[in-house]
Amino acid sequence: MASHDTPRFDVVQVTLAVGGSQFFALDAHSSSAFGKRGQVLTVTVGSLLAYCHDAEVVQAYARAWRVATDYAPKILPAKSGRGSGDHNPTGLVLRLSGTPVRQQVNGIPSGASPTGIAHVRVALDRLVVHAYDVEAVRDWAAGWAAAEADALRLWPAAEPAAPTPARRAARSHR
Amino acid sequence: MYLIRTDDNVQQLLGTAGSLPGALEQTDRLAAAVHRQLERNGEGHKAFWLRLVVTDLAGQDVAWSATNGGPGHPVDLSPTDAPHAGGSGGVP
Repeated sequence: MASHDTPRFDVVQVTLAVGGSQFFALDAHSSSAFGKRGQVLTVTVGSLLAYCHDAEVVQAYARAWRVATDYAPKILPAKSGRGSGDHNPTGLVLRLSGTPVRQQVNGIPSGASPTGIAHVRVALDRLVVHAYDVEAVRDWAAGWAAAEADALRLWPAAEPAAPTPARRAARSHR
Repeated sequence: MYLIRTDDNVQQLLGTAGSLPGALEQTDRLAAAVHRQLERNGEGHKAFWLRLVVTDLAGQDVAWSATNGGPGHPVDLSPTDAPHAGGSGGVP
């Protein structure tokens, strides 16, 4: 009998393009999935559904999207029309925990964009989100801010992270 | 020509680039260098956002970059911004 090897794929990066108003919902529950029982915060924002297993990852997402809200009004239109006509968009489910190794936010104008369209790029480990208007950025930021508040209630041991000025790091680069 | 500087009151000039895409790549390399320096200084556990801005020669801000090394996990972005497999890579 011939054996059939199942091809395996390792997902190294997933990119979501978002624009317009973004649906948002939160749910906290207890789960025994993935080996041990614990609290899980389910964050649904736009086409992403994320099972968050600790406060650290939720805080990281909330911080990154706060940075994105600083950049969005500088280069993005209030509304782009992108994403508004797709009523059955492809969804993405992620299981998240721990502080992402990679956290980066870019405000990319049309002249630096491979597609020629200005966007704000938020990258946390494998998930990269390209936001094309202010409305989408604000909805994602508001969603993750609400998730952060819930996460700190769910896992009270975590403390809100205090920002450290970038100036100090830049000086150490000399 | 584009200038790369810190996005703060100091506005320290960190580098230059001939194109806008090149400037954004340069911001990635500069941020990685800063995080590596912090790690060497024993400050790699500190989480913060390093904010850089790209300006044109007229002094107009045209692009922005912010990176966060995360506590204990300094960012090490390659020049080509190669994606990391989740949870691996990135640490020098």
